[in-house]
Amino acid sequence: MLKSSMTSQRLLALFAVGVALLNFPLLALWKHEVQVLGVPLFPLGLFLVWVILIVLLALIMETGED
Amino acid sequence: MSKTVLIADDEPNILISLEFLMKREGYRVVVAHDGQEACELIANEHPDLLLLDVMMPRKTGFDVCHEVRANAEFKALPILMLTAKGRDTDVTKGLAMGANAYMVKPFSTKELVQKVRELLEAAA
Amino acid sequence: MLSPVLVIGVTFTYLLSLFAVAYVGDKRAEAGHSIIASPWVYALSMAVYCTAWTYFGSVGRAASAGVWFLPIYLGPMLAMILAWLVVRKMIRIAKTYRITSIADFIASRHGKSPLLAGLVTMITVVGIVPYIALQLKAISSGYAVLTLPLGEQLTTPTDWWSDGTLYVALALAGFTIMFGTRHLDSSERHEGMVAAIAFEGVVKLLAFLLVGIFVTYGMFDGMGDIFGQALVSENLAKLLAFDQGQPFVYSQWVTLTVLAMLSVVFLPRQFQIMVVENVDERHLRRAAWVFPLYLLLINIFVLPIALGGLLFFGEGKANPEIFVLSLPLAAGQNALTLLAFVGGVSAATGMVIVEAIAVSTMVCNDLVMPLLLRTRRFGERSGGDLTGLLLGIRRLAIIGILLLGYLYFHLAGEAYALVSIGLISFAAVAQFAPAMLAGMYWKGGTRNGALAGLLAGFVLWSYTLMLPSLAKSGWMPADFLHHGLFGINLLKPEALLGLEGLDNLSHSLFWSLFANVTAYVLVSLGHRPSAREASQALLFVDVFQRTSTTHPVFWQGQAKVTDLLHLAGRFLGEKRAERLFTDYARQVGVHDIGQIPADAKLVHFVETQLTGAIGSASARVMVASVVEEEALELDDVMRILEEASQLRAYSQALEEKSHSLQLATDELRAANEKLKSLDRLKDEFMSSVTHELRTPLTSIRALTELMQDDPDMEAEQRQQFLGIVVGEAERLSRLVSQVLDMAKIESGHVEWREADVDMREVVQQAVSSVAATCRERGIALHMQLPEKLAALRADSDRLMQVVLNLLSNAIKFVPVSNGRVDVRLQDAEDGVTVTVTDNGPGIPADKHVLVFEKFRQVDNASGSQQGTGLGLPISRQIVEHFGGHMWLESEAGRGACFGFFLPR
Repeated sequence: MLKSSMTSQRLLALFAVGVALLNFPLLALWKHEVQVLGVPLFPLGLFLVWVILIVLLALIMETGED
Repeated sequence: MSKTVLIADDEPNILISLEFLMKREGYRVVVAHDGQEACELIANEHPDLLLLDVMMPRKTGFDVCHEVRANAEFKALPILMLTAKGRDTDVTKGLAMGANAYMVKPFSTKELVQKVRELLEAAA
Repeated sequence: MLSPVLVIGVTFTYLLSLFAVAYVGDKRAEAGHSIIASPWVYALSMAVYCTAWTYFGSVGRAASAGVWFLPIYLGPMLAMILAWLVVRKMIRIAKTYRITSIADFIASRHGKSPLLAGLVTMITVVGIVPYIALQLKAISSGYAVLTLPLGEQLTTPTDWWSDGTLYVALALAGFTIMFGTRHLDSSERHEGMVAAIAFEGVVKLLAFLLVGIFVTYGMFDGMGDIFGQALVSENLAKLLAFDQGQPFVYSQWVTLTVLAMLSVVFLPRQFQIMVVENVDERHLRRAAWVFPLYLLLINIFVLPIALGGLLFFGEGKANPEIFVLSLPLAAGQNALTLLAFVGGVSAATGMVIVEAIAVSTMVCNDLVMPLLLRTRRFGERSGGDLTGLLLGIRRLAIIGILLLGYLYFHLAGEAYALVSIGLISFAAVAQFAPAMLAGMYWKGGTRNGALAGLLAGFVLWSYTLMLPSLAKSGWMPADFLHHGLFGINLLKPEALLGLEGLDNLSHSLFWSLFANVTAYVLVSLGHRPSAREASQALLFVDVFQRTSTTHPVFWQGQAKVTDLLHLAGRFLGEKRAERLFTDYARQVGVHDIGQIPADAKLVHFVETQLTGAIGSASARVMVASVVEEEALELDDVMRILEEASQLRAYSQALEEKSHSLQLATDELRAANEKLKSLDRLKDEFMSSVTHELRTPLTSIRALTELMQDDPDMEAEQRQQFLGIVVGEAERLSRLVSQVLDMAKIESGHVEWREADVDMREVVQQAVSSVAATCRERGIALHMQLPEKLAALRADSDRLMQVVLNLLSNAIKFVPVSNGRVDVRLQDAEDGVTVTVTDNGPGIPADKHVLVFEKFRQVDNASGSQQGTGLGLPISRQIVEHFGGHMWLESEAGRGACFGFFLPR
């Protein structure tokens, strides 16, 4: 019971992080017109955030107990 | 020619007394201080009888007994086990391993001499 | 350009292989070996979210708006973070109460209202039709690209019978009927269909990735090349920039994200796959992150393909929505083009099949059945088996839905981009969110609240989004768009009440959801919930707090088993009903159906089974028609709840009791084991002591008998024997006293005298008492003491015993001629350390533990003085009694060092 509520809290925290990263004003972090390996920063940054969210979600889901 | 008795015991004082006793009875005596040494001496000296202690370092008396019986050459070699552990299970185990007789320490010297004589006669 | 026969042939072959997958899936499910019982298949089937919109529309969107295609996939990412909390609860509720659609979910939660179920179904049908049209449009324009000469536009034929899209719609309807309505199942699950959907999920992802890789690395020189070329062009560079030449529209970004978050759960097909078709709610754990990963993968090449198409064909020269097909086709890659088309067909058919099945279930259970159940004609033939009728209704519904989709495509499809059509549907299903989510977490929501909220949201959605879309396509006068309804400016659909500055989607979503939530909450709070509303609210919100055996049954009245059996037989088939009743009889512990008690539990059981087949509202009506019910008051609800919670408390108490009994049994068993092992230890100890006592006795008896037999023994011989006898007698008495000592220490009967002890004095005394022996044997004895030492609290006699024991051991083992023993006392902050080092034979590392055990002499000492095998164990016990510890450092052949530490 304690462990499952731990998972819930982690998920809620990750959700908050995700909402913050994909919204005003943090979205403007990728505003700079530079390229990384030839790819513009704005789409690249979004994909980066996306990957991080998936990895964290996978960690939370795969390590939690029922 | 006098018969050869091999005495194996890790207690030096017991060895001294057994050696004296057997020599007094007119046997040739070979002594071993542990089981391993006993096995080697049996192969080299071809004794006519074994006096084996059970609790010895490196190889127990049971092991020696088992090894001797496994060798066809020594199938008929009389073995007398001596032990300070007097439990019934030990006696049974000793006899199962192929010992001919079994005496519990401290033994009576007269009985021991008697037993040795009987075993040697039976073997002959 | 490819030949139509080839394209149609390949497409049909593919659809047939999908059907083969479904067939195998169904067969395996019947045999009890589910192939979809895996979190991976579950995650892949969720990818039914990616339709033709994703496959074709995203590229089109990206070609005109840059990264703005992404919020539709970032929303699901965020939603899936919460899936374990929210979707799992939906699954639990749906499984517990056999809910098979969103309409049923909302209706069942709000007092099993048929009106509410009907309304939700209506909204779904109206809302989802554009989405179906989108798929048809994608397939038909994709087909046109493949079979028409490059650059030629598809012309819609004037005669309806010569329009290929109509046949596409009918073919899809046929497939859906085969997939979804082959038989009636009370849990409404379709294993074969899910297997096929997971399969098509793999196909569309692979096809899209292959096209992406071909465009990026075959037609261009990698990502850097495409982006590099795009950044040179002024227009394309603007597309890639963050603000695209105007301020970043956060409101629209947020709107799209929120819409997608809600849609990924509340779209009928998503609910069908995620909730209804779920095999095991634990699968959600992995699917929650694998599904977003799928979305990420399918989006990687969207921008490269869009930019590649714009660069290759030139801006505005070709339709970006079919770049996925036209790029490989233009490059002469016919096989890849065909594969890309199959991928697109995959995406579209997957969506249509699941959506149509989900919506047809709703239409049948929540719209048609309740109406049929009221008509007289139906009453006349009510004696018969109705399962065939149910299947017929569903099949007709599927055809109807696809024809409606075709109609919308025909009327409005040409005017709108794929993505815009899809967003209209998204906004429609978002209206279900308040009633669903509030219904799961808030017990206050009522039927009237849900009706009001849904109506308000639907009306505003229609007025601000749906009607304008029709008006813009030219199918109704566009006057009201610009001047407001009746010429009232405040009623302008895209600037309602003068709200301006938002794009039309955000504007519509804001107004509809605002009105929806407000109406739901205010109307719900305006009146007391009825008994049925209150009981259903309890069952939904607290679903995790109850198990099937302890959840309360809110029903009272009288029923007959035969009536209920007959009723179940009409909707589930006679055989199935009979089997269900037999199982139920076994469950309640009676032998045959006739003995089943006709109580509330049975009524509830039958109603739940019927819910799976015809929806909760209809099931309620049907059950009520064959039993004599007593009206349920709010007080009754409270009473039943009270009884249920007492039952639960009772079963919990029982569980706890049996648990504590189990604990006690375990403890007893452990104690018994411990006693047994203590007994064995004691036995071993006795045997060892016997052995140790008998050994010296043997020498003593044998030697004395020898001397007795021979009075004339030489004096020297006699003297040696007497010496041995004395030595062995000493050994005996030492042994006896040490055994007693050991026994006293172990049983805790030792009187420890604690006083201030000067360790220097103890060591000095011990050393001086063995000094004489050492001199005799020529052993060099060295002692090293600190100048000063603070006192310890301990028993000095006992410590002396320890030091002496270590010293005498060392003396026993050192070589005769050049023996050396070093005693060292060291002071430290927290205590003192005493070490005794010798240059004897040493002890091999594997024997270090043995020396501290009782009666374990590692090697016999030379000389007559035999150890008892108890000295070290006793010494260690003493040291440990004073909180210290004892150790040995030694290697074979290098001497030994025994030491002990005593804390202050």
